[in-house]
Amino acid sequence: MAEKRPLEEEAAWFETHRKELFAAHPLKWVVVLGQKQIGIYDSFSEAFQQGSAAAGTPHVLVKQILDTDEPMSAPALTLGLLGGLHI
Amino acid sequence: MAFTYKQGQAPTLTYSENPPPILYVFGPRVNIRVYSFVPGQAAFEGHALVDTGAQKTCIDVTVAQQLGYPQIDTEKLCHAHGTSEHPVFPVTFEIPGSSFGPWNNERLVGVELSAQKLCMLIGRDFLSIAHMTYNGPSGKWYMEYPAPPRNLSQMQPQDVAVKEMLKLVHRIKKVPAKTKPAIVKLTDEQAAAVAASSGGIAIATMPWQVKDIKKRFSCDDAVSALARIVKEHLNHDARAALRLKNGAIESVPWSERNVFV
Repeated sequence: MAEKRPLEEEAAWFETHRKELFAAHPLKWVVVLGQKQIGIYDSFSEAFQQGSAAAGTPHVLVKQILDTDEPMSAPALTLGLLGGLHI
Repeated sequence: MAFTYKQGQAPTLTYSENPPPILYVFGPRVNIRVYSFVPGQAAFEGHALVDTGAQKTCIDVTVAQQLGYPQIDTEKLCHAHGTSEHPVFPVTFEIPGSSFGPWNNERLVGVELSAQKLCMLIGRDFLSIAHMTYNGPSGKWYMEYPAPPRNLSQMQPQDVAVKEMLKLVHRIKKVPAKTKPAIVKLTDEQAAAVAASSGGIAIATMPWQVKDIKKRFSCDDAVSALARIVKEHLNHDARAALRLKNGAIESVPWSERNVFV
């Protein structure tokens, strides 16, 4: 049996509820533990600090409520161009 | 390295000890201190590189894990062959010896940086609250914060400006007509063009709400409403570095902005 990736259950719950969350709380931050929504917060810091305290563990999903998640870019990193001389 | 934060001056971080070749070879680097998530565990000190190409600030995944940070999300990173998934950590860090920070529980993306002898890449989310000058001939670079640094997660990456703008436009559209709010006449494409013409700065991330629009703005069109918003925030919000001129939104030159005191 394949081992679960970290936050897999929480991420699946979020994807299931993304539309309704976005309709009700666009751009806010949601904290999820297992299949349970811990809370909705205005900022990431607030979400992590208050959400993890409410959940009783820091191992929670803290996600901004957007309609889609766009991949980020860091071309120098991904193209391996950060190397060179080291100090 | 010198920090100033005096009355009437913007706080400035200046790196100037090195001759020009050092900056050329190594790029704009800064010492960084990453605090442990585990109480009592020593902090990690290393180098961070300012990378204007990086959309978000990244941390070496091994450093984050060794310092006990829990993974709280994942982030997809674009590369030539598609995307890869990376953990996200709530990291507390500071620039040692500076009056700025520490930045608490910032949302940093875990990537492999140890081969480059780096522990962090400072990306455009960090730079969205700063003014940076790279002076190649003199070998100097400066970072300046027009206002005391705020929480990075309150900043919206510039790349989402258009998307944010469109969301805002949709929200404005939902306001009942009897309240005489800003009536949006722009199409999504036009609104996107307005956002794009502003240099990608996230207009829609200013701290205003639909209810504020009802209360404060009775403009007939979105451009006028935006102009009012820009004016209102220009003097005290670094993100409001925009103004309306000849019907277009433009970035306000740094020299014309009021300095935060």
